Amino acid sequence: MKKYLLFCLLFVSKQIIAQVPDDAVRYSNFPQNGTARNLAIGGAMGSLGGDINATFVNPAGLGFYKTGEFVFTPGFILNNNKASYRDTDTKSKKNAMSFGTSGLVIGFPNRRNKNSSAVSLAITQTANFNNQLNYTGLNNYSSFSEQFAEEFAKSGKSINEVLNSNSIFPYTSAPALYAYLIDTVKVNGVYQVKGAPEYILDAGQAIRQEMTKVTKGGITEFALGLASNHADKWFFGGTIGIPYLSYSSNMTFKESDTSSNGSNHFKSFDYNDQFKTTGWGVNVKLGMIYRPKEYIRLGLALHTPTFSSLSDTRTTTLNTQLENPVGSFSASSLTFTNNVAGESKYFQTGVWKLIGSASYVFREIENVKRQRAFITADLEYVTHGASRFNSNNDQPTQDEKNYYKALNNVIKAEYKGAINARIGGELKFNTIMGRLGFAYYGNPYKDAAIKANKMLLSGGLGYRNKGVFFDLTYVHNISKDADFAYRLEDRANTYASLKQTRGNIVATLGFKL
Amino acid sequence: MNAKILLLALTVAAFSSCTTAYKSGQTPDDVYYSPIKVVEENNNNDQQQDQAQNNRQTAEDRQIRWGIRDRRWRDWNDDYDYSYHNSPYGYCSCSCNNSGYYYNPYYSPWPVYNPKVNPVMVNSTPRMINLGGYNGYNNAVNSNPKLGGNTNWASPGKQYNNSNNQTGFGRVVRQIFSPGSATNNTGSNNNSSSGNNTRTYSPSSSSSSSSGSSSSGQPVTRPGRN
Repeated sequence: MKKYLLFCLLFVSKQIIAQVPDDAVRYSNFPQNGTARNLAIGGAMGSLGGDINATFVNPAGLGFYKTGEFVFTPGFILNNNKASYRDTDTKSKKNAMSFGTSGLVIGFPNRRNKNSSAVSLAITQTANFNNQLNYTGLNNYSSFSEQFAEEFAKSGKSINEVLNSNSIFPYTSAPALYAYLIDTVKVNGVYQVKGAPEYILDAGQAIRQEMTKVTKGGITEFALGLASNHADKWFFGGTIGIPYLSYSSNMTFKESDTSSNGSNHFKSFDYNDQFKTTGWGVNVKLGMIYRPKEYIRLGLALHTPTFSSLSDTRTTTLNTQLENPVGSFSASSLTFTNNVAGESKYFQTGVWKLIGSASYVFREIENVKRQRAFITADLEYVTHGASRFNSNNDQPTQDEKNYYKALNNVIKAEYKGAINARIGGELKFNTIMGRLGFAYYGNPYKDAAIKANKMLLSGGLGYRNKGVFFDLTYVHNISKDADFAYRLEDRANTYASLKQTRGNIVATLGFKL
Repeated sequence: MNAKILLLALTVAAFSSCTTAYKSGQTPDDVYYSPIKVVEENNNNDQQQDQAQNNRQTAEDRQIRWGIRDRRWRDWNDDYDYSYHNSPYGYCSCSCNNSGYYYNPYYSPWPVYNPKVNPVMVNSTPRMINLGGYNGYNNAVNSNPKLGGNTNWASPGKQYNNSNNQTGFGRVVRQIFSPGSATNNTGSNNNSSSGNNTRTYSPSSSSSSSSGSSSSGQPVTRPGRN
């Protein structure tokens, strides 16, 4: 009997369904990272080459190496966020450490001709999720609790089916029902599901909403790059990347009654949602660079989607204070997940990237005293809508298949391909170099009402002498985005418009080998 | 933290020592031009290697010559080494860098599969969301943008309410479609205002009592309300 019960429990525990669409764009919409030198020129590296960051952009650029070097790139980011939520502005800030592209690249020249090859072993923080977002505002239209009411009503489940130690809604509807944030009411003889704050909204009053979200982690990618140079004319390269994703979110959403009425059913609630996503992935980057003339470089690169195996752990807590009758209730998702934090596993297939690039290099000669400058530009297309989620179950249920299909359709409908542009240049004065750059990352949302783009202004200095080089860069990232604390099917959605600035101070220390 | 700084310092020192070749001359910049390393330097290296090899050969010749004269010199560098450290049976004590696979009856060379039995069932419910919320609220009432307010009109079927303007469109929608002013959440009251079809409580397996469960878990009873 115990074996049978264990089998049943294990079977149920494999009912993995899916994630949320926002995950897709979170893991694809971020500016390119690199060495300090590369970041100072806007991150353009699709055709320039000769920098280890070519490993992560166009590996053919490694083919320019006939020497070797080791680089180390620490950094520091300063986030300043301004959120506008229902006519109220809120500011927040968060600083964190970061690191750019670091590693080793070695060139192998052929002494009999102009051919050569190169190999690189590099690591970079592809994305940095460290940030804190706050916003608050009055809302007379909708409540955070309504998403739970909607979920529970649509499920067709009874209260008792949801309230059990292995609930199907352990993080959302189950705590909400347990703490009476949502409940059933009879309207015109028909039972309906209603959130307690809705009594205030129905009375024509507003509730105060507060959202705080602290996010941590990043995507750290390890890569092995190989490149070959054919007569200094054609360059081909490939990279195998192994990214490790770690993202944690600690979100607290509060709602409170702003009136002095002590009998309008609702006083306040605070809902805390903590989850962490971790997992490994793999991707391939291929590229080529053609040098039709001595000073001109043309590049083309293709990045395959990252195929990731990810895992989520999650816990939520809910505290409510209700009126008429007065009562305070607390609920934890652990009650509905057998007192063990829930864990779900899934696969994600990321986005494609296609990069076209051109560079003009003044004075490609050996004497460094006569090397003068370069200018380079990348144009990149990213298929944000191509991200897909899938179950990692051996035998996914029909419910899972249906949800994944719907989820992937939503991603396809919500996000579009975006065009990104990067341009930058350098002036060289023997051992000292000065650089400027600019980058623009397009809106991944199909909905034109949602403004979401990024502009990066960058500048830096470099010093190179006696086998050592040091580069220092500042990147000022100005971005717009939207944050939906909750989404409703039967009401117009509300969101916070975000204006974020991120200062990124990056230094690279390198040694010629 | 100190260990990291120390590691970094050691790394810097190690790579600094590797840059000797460029300390006197120009430091190449591979973005502009990547030179092949200086040939003379390599020739010097080759010469040094040749010299070292000659020295080794001379020493071997000398040893052979001494061995012919005196047998006490013959066992040096013998191919057969019966020393404890290089035992063919792999009984290494300290200096061998062995992989761990020994001919040892008390040490299995094969990995033993130890299945992890987890008696506690892990709930694998993902971070789900009502995907209908992404499709956008679409209702005939919303089709008239002249209703005003600060509602954003994005595309057919996608409307946003981002303002508390009392005369705004969103306010109208709230009043029309809210379930009404029901005053009790225990399911016993009967109100007359218009309902919202999407939030009707109609469980497929009807059960409104506080006991029993159709799930694999144990039932959780809600705390009572006065």
